Amino acid sequence: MSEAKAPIIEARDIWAIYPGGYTALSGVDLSIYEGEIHVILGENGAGKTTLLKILGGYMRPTAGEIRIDGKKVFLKSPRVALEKGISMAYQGSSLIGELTIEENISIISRSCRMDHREILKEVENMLSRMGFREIDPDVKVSSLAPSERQLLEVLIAVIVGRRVILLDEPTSLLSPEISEEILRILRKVSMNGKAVVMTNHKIREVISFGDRFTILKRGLKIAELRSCGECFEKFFPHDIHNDGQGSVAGIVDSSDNGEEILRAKDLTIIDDRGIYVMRGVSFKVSRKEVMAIVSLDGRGVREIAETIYGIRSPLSGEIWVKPGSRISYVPSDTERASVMSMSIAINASMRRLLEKRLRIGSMLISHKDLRSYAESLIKESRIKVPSIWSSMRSLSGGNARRLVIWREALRKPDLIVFEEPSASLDISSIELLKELIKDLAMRGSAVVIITSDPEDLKGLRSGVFFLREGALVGLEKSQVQEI
Amino acid sequence: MDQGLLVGLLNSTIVIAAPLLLVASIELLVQKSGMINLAVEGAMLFGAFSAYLATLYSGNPLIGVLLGVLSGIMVSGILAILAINMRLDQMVSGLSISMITMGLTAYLYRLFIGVGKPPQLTTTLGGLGFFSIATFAMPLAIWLLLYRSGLGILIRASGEDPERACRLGVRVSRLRLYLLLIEGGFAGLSGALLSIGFSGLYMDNMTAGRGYLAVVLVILSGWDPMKLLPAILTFSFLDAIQLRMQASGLIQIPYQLALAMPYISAIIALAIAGKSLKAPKSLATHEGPC
Amino acid sequence: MKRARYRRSSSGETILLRSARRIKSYNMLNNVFLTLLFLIILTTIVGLLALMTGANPLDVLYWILWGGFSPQQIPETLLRASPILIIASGLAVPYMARVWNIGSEGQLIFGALGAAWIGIHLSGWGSFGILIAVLFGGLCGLIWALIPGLLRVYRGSNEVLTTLMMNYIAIYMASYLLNGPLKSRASLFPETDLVGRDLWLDPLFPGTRIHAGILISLALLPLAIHILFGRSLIGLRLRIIGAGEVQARYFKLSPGLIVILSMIFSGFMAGVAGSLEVLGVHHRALPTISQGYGYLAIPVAMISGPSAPMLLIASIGLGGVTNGVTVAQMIVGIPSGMMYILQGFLLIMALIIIKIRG
Repeated sequence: MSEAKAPIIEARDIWAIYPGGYTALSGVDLSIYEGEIHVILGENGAGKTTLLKILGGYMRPTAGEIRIDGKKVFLKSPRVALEKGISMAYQGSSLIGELTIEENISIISRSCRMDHREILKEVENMLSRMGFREIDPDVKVSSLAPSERQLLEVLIAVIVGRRVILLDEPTSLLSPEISEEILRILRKVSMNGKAVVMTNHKIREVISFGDRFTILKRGLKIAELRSCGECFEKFFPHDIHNDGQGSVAGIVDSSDNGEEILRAKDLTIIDDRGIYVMRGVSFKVSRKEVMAIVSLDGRGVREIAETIYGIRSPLSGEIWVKPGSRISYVPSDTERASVMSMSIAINASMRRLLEKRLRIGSMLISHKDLRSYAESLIKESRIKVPSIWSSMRSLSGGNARRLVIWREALRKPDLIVFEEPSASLDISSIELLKELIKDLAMRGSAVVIITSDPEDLKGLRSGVFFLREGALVGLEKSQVQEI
Repeated sequence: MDQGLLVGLLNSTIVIAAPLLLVASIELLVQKSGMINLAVEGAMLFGAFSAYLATLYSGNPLIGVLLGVLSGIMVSGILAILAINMRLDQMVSGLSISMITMGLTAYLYRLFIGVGKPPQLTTTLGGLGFFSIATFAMPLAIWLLLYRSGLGILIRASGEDPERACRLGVRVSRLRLYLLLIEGGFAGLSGALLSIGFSGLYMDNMTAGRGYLAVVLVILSGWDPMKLLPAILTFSFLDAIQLRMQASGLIQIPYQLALAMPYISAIIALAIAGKSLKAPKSLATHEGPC
Repeated sequence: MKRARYRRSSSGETILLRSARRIKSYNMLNNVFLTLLFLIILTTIVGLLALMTGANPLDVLYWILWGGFSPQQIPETLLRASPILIIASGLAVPYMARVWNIGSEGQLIFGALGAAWIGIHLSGWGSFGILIAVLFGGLCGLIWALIPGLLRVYRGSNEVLTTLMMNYIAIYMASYLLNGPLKSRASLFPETDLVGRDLWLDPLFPGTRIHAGILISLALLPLAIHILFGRSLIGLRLRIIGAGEVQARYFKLSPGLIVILSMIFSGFMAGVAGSLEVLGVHHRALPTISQGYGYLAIPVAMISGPSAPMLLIASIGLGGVTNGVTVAQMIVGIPSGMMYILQGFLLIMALIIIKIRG
C-alpha cells in the first residue's frame, strides 16, 4: 500500500459508449498502485466489467486514456495488455472449451515471458496446496465443471500477470473455502508487489479485504474509499444480508387449486455435448405454484428451461404440459428472445403479433396496434425508453431484459419459465421481479424458476429441489421464513 | 483391365488432383481458423492468367509462376480487406471478388491477346509429375501443423472461439490475414499449374469452378486433413473416368457435362456432407474484438 | 503504427464504417443518396477500365449515361429494369430471412428454357397460352431453386454455395440444350424455334420494345411485395428467422418450411422473368437471354428489402447502367467482361451499404 509512488496503471476520463447509444461509463478515473488490492463495487450495469475490460485491452474506450508508469499507452488488444504485464480473469471465462488445459495455457504463454510448462507447474502447485488431486492437463476444458473452470481461470491470471491482475467476479462460482484460499493467494501476491483489481458482488467477502475501494453507479464513479465499513448503509441499502448458503426451500401453497399445468416423470435431459444435466427426476407444478430447480454446479440451467418450455427434447422420460397452455419463457440472455435489429415496439408486441392467426384480412401489422401494445408494456414495466420506434439495441442490457420479462409476464401465461432470473439485473430490479413472480402466481400462473443461484429464491415461497451433475441432491419441502 | 488404360487414368487423376490439393489443403487451415474463402476461384483464375501472360511475354516460365503466385496473393488480400478489416459477409465478398476477377481476366485477355486461339507455350516447366505427387503430402503436413504445433493450436483456437482466443492473447485478425494471403499464393500457384504447367494455354474461365470445389471438399472432409486426401482422390478419379469415357466416344456425353463436372461434384459433396457439428464454431463469422 | 483509416473501435467496427454511419437514420433520402453515390463510383471504375483500352474515359462515361438515361433510351432501360425488378422482388423474401439465394441467374435461364419449349408447343392458344407459358417458366425456375432449398433444410448445405453451383450447371445445361435437343432446325445459331406468334407479347408503343409484362411488373410488383411482406405478419416471421436459429427456435417458428417457401418463391419469380424475356423480347430462348439480370438483382434486393420505392429506383438505376454499358461497348469498342466486373462491384457496394445501415 504505497501511494507515495506513482500509480502503475491509471485510467483517465474513460468513456464507454456501445453502438446503439448505451453509455456504460461516463468519465471514470481510476488509479492503481503497486501492491494494492483494489476492489470495484457497484450494482449490475454500473460499468464494472466494462471498466475492467478496458484495462485488460479487450475493449477500447470511446474516449479517455490509459497510462502505465505515467506513459500513455494504447491497449490495442489483450495481447498487448499481457505483454505489458496486465492479466485478466473474465467473468465468462477466457479458456477455450474445445482445447485442452495445456493447449490453453500454451496459448497464453505466448503473450507473457513464461514457458507454458512453468505456468502449468505453478497451477498444479497451487491446486495441490488447496487440496485438489492431480489435474490432467490433457482434458478438454469443456468437460470441467463451471466452478473448476473459474478456479483455473483465476489461478492462471494470477500466475501470468506480471504487474497487474484484473479479476471480474473471481469467486462467483466458488465455494466459501476455496474463495478464502483465493483471497489468501491474492494477498500474498500483492505483498510481492503486484496490484490486484477485482470486482465482486459478494460484498461481505471483500469488505474487510480490500485496500481501496471504488464505487461505481450507472457508469459514474461516485466514491473512492480506503475502507468500506459503511459501504452497505451508504451505497447498497437494498442489499440483502446473507451468506449465500443454506436451504431456501419453500412450501407449496397448500390451498391446492390443483389444476396441474406441468408434469414430468423420470425426466432425463442431456446437453448438446451429451453431458447429463437432469437424471430421472419427477415433479409437478400446478396453478398458483412456484417451483424452483437449483443447479448447484451451474450445469444445464438453459437446457432444463428449454425442455420445459418445449423447444428441446429430453433424452428419456415424459414431460407433459396441459394442452392449449400459454407458455412464457424468460431466458438468461435477452438476445435469444428478441430481434435486436427491430424496433422496441415490435419486440414488445412480438408475442401478440405471432399469436394472431394468419387470415387474409388481418395480415398486416397495424401501426396503431403496435403503439398501443408497446406503450402499455412500457408503462407497466416502468422502463425508460427514448422512443418505442428506436431499435432494440439502444436499450441497456438490464432494460432489455426487463422488457422481455414484462412481455412474457403480461401475456397472462398458464406456465412461465424463468432462467437465471437475477442475471443482468440490479438489486432493485430483482426485488421488483420477485414481486412480479409472486403476482403471477397469485393470478393463476404456474411459475418455474431454474437457476444456479439459490439467492434468487430468497423471499419466495416455492417448492425447490437441487441438482448436482444432474442428480437430485435433496427434495425439501419445509416452511420458509419470508424476509 | 487394360494396363495402358489404368496408367492413363491414374495419370489423369494426379493431374486433376494436384491443383485441388494445393488449394484445398490451405483452405482447410483457413476454415479451421474460422474463415471461408470463396475468392480462391478468382485467385486461381487470375494466377492462371498472369502466369500465362508473363510467360508469353518473358519467355521464362519461372517468372510466370512468380507472377501467378503474386496475383493470387493480391486477390486474397482484397478479400482480407473486405472480410477481416471491414467485416463484410465473407461468402458474398469472396464471390464478388471471383466475379470481378472473371470479368477482369476476360477483359485483359481480349486486350492483350485479342480474339482467336491463344498462342501455345512450349516453354513449360519440367518435373511436373514429381511436383504433382508431392502435393499429396500436403494434407499430412497440414495435419502435423494443426495438431502437433503451437501454430496449430492458435489456428484452432481462432476458429472455435475467437473471442476467448483474443482474451488469451491470440491476434485473430492477423492470423486469419496471413492464412488468407498464403492461401492466395497457393491458389495462384495452382492456377499457374493449370495454365502454363499442364496445358501451356489459357482459356476464358479456365478454372471452371475448381476453386469452389476445393472449398466444398474441405467441408465434405469434415475439416479433417486425413479425410481430405481420399476425398480429393476419389473425386479426381471419377472425373478422370468421366473424361476418358467422353474422349473415347463410348457413351455419347455432351462436352458441357465435362465442363459442369466440378460444379456438379461440388453440389453432390455438399449434399453428402450434411450439417456437420464438427465445423469450427466461428466459421464464416468475423466478430469479436481481435 | 498508423492505420488510421481502419482502426477498430470498441465494438470491432472500422473507423471507415463508423464515420459513414453518421448517415444514421434509415430514411429514404439517405438510401437513394447512397445508391446514387455508388452508381457514380461504378461509372468511374468503368471509365478507368476504358482508359486501359485507350478509349477516352469521359467518352465512355458519357455514352453509359446517355445509353442509360437519355429520353431515347429510356424504353430500353425499362426493358432491362423489368427483369431485374421482378427477380429482386422475389429475392426480397428469402433475403429477409437471410436465406441467400444467389441462383437467380440459373433460375431465370431454366425458366426461359421452359417457357420457350412450351411456347413452341402451345401455338394457337393465344392469351391463355401466354399465361401458361409464363407459369410454366415460373415453375421451372421454382424447381431450380427447390433443389438448393431442400439441401439447406434437410442437409444443412449452405445455400450460397449450392445456388451458385446451380447457376453454372444451368448455363452448361442451356448450352447443351440449345445446341442439341432444343435447337431450332431453321436457324444456324444455338437457339430454339420461335414460340407461337400468338404468344408474343407485342410492343405497346411503336418504336419501343416495351410490352405488357414490363408495365405490369413495374406498376404492381414493388407495391405488392411491400404490402405482402414489408408490413405483414409473414414478413415478421421471415425477419425472426433472419435474426437467427436461436431466435426462430425461441419463438417456436419452424424455419424449414419458411426457408423452402421463400426459396421457391424467389425461384418462381426468376423463372417468370425468364419467361417474359422469351415471350416479350426475343420470342425464343437463346444463350444471351440473360444480361446478368440474375446477378444484378442481388444487390438490388439486398439494399432494398421489401421497400417498394427502393426496389423501383435501384432496378431502374441498374437497368440504365446495364443498357448504358451495352451502348458504350458498341460505340466505343471496349471489350466485354465489363458486366462481370460491374456485378462483382455492385455486390460489394451492397454489402457496404447494408453494413453502414447496421
